Amino acid sequence: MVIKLADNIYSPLGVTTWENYQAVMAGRCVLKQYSLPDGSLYTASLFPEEERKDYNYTFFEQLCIVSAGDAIARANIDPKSSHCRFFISTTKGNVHLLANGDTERALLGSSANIICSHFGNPNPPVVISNACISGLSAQIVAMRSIEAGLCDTAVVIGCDIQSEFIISGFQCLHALSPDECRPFDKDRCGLNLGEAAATIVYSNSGNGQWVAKAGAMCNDANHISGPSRTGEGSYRCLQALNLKPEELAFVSVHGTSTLYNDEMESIAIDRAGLADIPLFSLKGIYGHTMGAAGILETILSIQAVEHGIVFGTRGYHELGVSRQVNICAENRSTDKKSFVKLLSGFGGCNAAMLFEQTDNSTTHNSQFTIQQLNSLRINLTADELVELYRTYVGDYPKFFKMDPLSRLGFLASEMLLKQLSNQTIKQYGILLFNRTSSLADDSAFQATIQDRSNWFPSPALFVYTLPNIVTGEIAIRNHFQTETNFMVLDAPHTDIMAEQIALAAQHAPQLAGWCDVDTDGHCLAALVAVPQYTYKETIQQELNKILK
Amino acid sequence: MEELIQKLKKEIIEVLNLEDIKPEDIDTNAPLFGDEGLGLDSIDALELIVLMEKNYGIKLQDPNQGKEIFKSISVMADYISKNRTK
Repeated sequence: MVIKLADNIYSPLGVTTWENYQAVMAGRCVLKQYSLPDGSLYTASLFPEEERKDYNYTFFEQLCIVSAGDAIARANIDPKSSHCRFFISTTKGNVHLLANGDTERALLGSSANIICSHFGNPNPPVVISNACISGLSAQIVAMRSIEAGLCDTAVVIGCDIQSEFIISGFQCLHALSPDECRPFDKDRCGLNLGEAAATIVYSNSGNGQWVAKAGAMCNDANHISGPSRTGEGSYRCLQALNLKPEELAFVSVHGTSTLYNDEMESIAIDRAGLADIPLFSLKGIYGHTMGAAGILETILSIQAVEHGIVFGTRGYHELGVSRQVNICAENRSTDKKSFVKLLSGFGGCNAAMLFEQTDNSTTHNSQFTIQQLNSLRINLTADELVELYRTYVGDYPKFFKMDPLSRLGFLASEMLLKQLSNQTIKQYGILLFNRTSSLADDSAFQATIQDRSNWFPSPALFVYTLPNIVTGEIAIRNHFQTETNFMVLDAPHTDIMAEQIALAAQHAPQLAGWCDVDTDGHCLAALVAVPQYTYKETIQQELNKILK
Repeated sequence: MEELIQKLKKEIIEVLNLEDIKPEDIDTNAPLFGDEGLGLDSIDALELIVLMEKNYGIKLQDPNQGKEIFKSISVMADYISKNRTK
């Protein structure tokens, strides 16, 4: 449990949380129809063209800096302190720069360093790039880091901007609605994309009325782009929060307005016994803001509870999912003081968090034991991965559909799990780190849209333009329905990796470590199997051995 | 038609990365999707839509149309020969 000190939303609707709340209450929205080079139409909530300029700071970095700057000032914390850490949630950061060949600045770690240096923070920033649940993953990671005493304050920034890269990718997946989206409605036909930055500052102490009480992440272990038909991961997340439904004001759902997502969420919510709880989606106002969504939607939900409101779902008219869930069409009133934020994303990942307005606080106890760790290092070229597959696996043709990053992580996990075959652990969480995110696949996808006269964005490449897909592939192969997460660092900082792996291992045993494919096709995986409650020192020692 | 069928098999193997499969392994009349035949999935279907547009100038607006067209190689070849613009 951690205390929220301050927050900010910087979106096309306003530059502060208050402006955004007022805009939502006034029914303002900037969703507008645009077209792609192939003539297909999409609707999105975007910043005006004249604001979208890259200077010394790119537009993405500007949004992060302005949003975090406002939240930090309101929180009255010192961002230069070594007891403060930055967690940045984004799926694609500066990916638009790939069109000009700027691969260095497109690296999430480089961009995060620039943002963090602006505030003079001495710690390497951790980028959480866990598809559409990144915003909740980042808050959960920040909460655990504070609870474990790694830092006193955490600045959690979520941001994504839109570009032809992202829009054409969703378009070739046929996921975009040409018109304004209609979450949970019988006529819904896809999502709208949006852009925003949002920041929450958390602390272990101080004057804050809001606490993040609990969080959970669970993988469907079903498919890398389609959600589970039984809502498995989202259901498990909701179960893990130990909710008291009578105390909930609402569940702020993902509600992307795609056929499959909304149906899946209705099943998960019904299975979790929450069918009577009011639900709303903010996607009909902001569109899907990707890396910002988990943070932006949390902040607006906090505002709603503080004002005794349950938001209506813009675009929703008639229930179009199989379960009788309680979608709010119009604003309602509430006197309850807690809510759940729910998200799901590509790679089969799901996340839920419980927030509460309170003045109580409790302390947190951790338990550690010393263990001997199993580990494995693979250091090869992308071509050699195929030989390795033929030697060690050979019976999983899906391997050939994977991008190099997924192939690498998949093979490393297969070989490590073979070493562990006599152990009793059946379910591992997966936490991987790297430097280049999904850059090799990003560049391959960019090549399919680089030439306007030969514009054929590839769906099979686009689904791999998220680094966390590799965690999904491993989860699917092994039916691991536990936590999966992906973090990007500017270098293999084994201290930071060990800390985060130890925190994750308090919840479940982990397959964790480094998994990176360079732009020149050089592959390095260094994985450790970490039993529950392992010391971070033990993990770091093992990582140092295999990452040298 | 036989020529188109052979070409299509090669294109599908390449675009869907069916590494261990050769054109002669693909039964022209077997289902492409589901547990039988090639066992392709939803992302493969989207990639086949791109293939139809890129190589044959056929634009499917509704991905659900794919369900009928991608039943088997022979159904797909038949549809392409009737609707191709390049």
